[in-house]
Amino acid sequence: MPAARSSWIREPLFHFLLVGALLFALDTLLITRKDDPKRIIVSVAVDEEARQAFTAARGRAPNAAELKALRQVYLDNEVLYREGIAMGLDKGDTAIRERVIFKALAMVEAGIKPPVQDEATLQKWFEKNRSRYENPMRLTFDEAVFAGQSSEQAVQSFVKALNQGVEPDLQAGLRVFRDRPLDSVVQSYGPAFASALTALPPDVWHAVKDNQGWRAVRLGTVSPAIPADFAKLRNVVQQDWTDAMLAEQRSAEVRALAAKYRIELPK
Amino acid sequence: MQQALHLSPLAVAVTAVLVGSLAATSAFGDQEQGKQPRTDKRGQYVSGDFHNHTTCSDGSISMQRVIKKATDTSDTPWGLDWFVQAGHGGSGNRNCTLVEDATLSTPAYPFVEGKSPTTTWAASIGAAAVKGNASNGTPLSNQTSPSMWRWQSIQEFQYPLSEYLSGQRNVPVFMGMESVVAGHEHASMTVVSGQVVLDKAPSNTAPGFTPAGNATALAQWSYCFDRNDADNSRGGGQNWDCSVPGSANATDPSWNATAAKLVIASGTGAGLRGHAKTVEGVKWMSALHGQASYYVPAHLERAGPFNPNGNNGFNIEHLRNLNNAAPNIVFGFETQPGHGASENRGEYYQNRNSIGGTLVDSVGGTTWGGTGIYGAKVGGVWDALLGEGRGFWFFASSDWHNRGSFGPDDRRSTQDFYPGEYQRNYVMVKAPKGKGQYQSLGQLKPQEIVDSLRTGDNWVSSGQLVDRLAFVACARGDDSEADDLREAVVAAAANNVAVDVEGARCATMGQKLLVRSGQSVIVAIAVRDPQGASYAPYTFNNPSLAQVGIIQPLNRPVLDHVDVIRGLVSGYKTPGAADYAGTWPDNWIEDEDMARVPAAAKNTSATVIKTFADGQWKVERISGIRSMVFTVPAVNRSQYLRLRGTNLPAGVPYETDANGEPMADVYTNAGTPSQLKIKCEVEPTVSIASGATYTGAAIDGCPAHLARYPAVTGPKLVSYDVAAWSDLWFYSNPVFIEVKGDTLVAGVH
Repeated sequence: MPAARSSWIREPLFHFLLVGALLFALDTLLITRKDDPKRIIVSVAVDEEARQAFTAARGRAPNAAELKALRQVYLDNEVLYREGIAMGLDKGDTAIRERVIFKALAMVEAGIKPPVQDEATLQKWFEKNRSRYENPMRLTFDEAVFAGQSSEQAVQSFVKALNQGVEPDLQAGLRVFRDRPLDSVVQSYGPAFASALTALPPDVWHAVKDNQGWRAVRLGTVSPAIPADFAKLRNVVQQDWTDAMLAEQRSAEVRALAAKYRIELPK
Repeated sequence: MQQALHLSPLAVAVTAVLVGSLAATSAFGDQEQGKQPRTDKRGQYVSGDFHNHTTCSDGSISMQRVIKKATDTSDTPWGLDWFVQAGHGGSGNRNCTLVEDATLSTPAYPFVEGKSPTTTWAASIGAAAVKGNASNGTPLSNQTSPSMWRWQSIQEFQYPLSEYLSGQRNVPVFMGMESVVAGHEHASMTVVSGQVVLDKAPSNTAPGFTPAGNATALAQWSYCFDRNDADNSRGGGQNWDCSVPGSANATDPSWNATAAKLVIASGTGAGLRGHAKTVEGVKWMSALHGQASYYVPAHLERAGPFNPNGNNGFNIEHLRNLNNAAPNIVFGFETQPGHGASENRGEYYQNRNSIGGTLVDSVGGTTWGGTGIYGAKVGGVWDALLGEGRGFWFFASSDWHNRGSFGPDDRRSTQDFYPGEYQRNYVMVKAPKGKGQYQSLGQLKPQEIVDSLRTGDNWVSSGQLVDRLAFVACARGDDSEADDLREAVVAAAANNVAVDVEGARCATMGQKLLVRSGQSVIVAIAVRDPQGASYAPYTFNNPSLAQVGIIQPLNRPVLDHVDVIRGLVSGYKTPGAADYAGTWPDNWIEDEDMARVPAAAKNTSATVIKTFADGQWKVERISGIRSMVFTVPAVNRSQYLRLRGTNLPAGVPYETDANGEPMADVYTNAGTPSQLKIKCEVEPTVSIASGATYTGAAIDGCPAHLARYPAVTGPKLVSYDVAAWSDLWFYSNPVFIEVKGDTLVAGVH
């Protein structure tokens, strides 16, 4: 072998180029051809899924012509899918975005370990979230619905008649509210109404003002809030605490992933 | 769907006071002895749907499949009694008369391998058979894959199939259309002249069917008056002329002599010109098919207010114009839209429409308990129309297109319900005298359905909240009448027969009762809350009711109460007068102030005058029947009474307000997830695999398709079909009372 030739064969640059060329050839042979965007492979699994779907719908296996037609449906759909992706139709689609988020979240969750429980921690968390477990105050009351303008004077007259057992005119009827949680009464009628209602003597009609006007109401019973008992709720609390801890870990993982992004907020 | 009745002692006591004092203090009017109403066994309410789609327009399934889904009583148990197939006017390129598979095959219309209802007309009948001209005047048959005009589709393909299927299924099935309205959005309509319903299965043994009847009149109307029909072929050689008897159409600048119809140019004034054409369209129906047609604006709040330069919604003056032009044709509106499971219920939402470059809401912003603001708001547009004494009725539709995220056989939906699955129009039909009740649905003819829709003796219910109703008002005679009347309405509701009001000084829905001033009127109502499960596939507890501590399975709704709404009648508004026309204000959800509503669009006298619930209604021994009887004393003003009821008591957060009025559905519309409010927290014990079709009725926890906020990681929130099944209402049409010497109830007979 001539000296000049053997010298360039020993050059590191030649070795680098040679290895690079080999890798490129191997990639072309093994990878690129497999991911060829113009190549569609109908696998055995596709045929099997088509067979199962057909059999479930028609009660028999498809014949050759039917299987061919089903393959064609798969191919048509695959073509449409690839064309759609190529056209960017997945961009800006909320459903697709949420599906991908869901799948990515599942990957994140796969790496999260269940928290180790600790009795003292559980109890501390329960105290912090006690309101979630308390049975709220509940009110049972009736409203005699006043038809027409509900001025204070008109409703007071109506209430007086009701307390005397006389209905003064064609009136709208009765609404019966049983064991309504206090917060729902506050939300619908306002805090002042709820407070006034709670303070009424029972079984007597009263005019009480709410967000919209005067109402003829009669309090039935007030069931006081029942404090939550950790001992009775321990298992439920444990599950909720676990869920909360997992959610915190999950959020932390996502926040960690966010660190590699540069985030620009609206000005 | 009811649970055991639990009356609190307080409720019983108050009821005793109210009812007892009512009886003690009610004054009798000028008494007349009259015949007491009994039941009329010739009558019965039958339920149906007249607005739904197939692949011939933008639906997802064939004619055969939607008709099977709507009228079947086994595979899909909701089985409607009558069905009008009504896709969009205009054109479509798919052949909806081809079936999906062999299960839908019939001798005359067999399954063809490789063909489906999405196959084009070109690939099924051939492009050469497509008639008429494209909008540029060239024959459609010259195109490779032409769309077919709806007139040809109805006349030659869809009508024969509907006639055939009516005989196959022994159910009245016929053709209508959801017209794309000139000057507005859409309307459900038909002309039934020529259409036939078969009362026995055709004897075909081979492909092909020659119908006994035809839908030529409907097809011609489609050609002449649908906004999306740009054909000028006069029906592909049928020489159709669209001029209206009594109208000088040929002198109208929009008249196109080649097409022999009004052709509305777009641009400035297009809405006004389009509306004028639509008025001509209903005049045509009135002049040529006066008893054989109806025209009912559909989801009329969705596209916003009227746009004089485009095609958006309807204001009240347009409803008045149409009703004035053809009172026998335009006798109501579909103010309870379909698309009940959509991300935006009814597809109504805020900032939906662009008019003149400005975004405006669907009128009312969203639906309200599933109903558009025109029908839902007490004292609003519907009451304004009834307050004139117009015969103008409330209707609902499925607007079936597809199941959203799910396949057509899935019981879950994020878009539409099948016809009959959720909403139903119940209409009264009566067999001819001396013939007893109809023995089979196949005896009902299209004309009878149209007549029954026109009478106003009809009502609407969603989610199987109630399935029977009897509602009458009678000039009061003596004390015994209350018991007699209660007995009559209970018997009518129990047996699904009519109350016999003829000659009994009584009136029912869609009728008027004539009384002297000062006379008392007694009102009797019976409803049936059906036993057993509804058609909802969900067995977990209603999350909306759970907010107020009520535990009630979603598929076993219980009627909570019935409201009686009264409005005074003050006569027809005069066209051109200040109180004739007016636009419902935009941004209604943000500011529900009735002072913003123009005088034309409201009736300030309308109000809830009675509310019946446990303790006030009588629970009859017959399963599910509740009866209510009360007196309206000393009537001296012409008026009307109408009913509504719901499964939701007053004060259910984000569903009903403190007065029991439905709240905006913005809080259950997934279209704006940040506004969703009601958590759905019950976890299902069995999860359904992604992509699997669920055909059962036992989903025991909040389904995975509910919206979450924040997306993916937030809690499931009441939305889509769960929102619809949580929030149920029924609406009756009114009974009018005309007082001698006061305002005439001119629009009601």
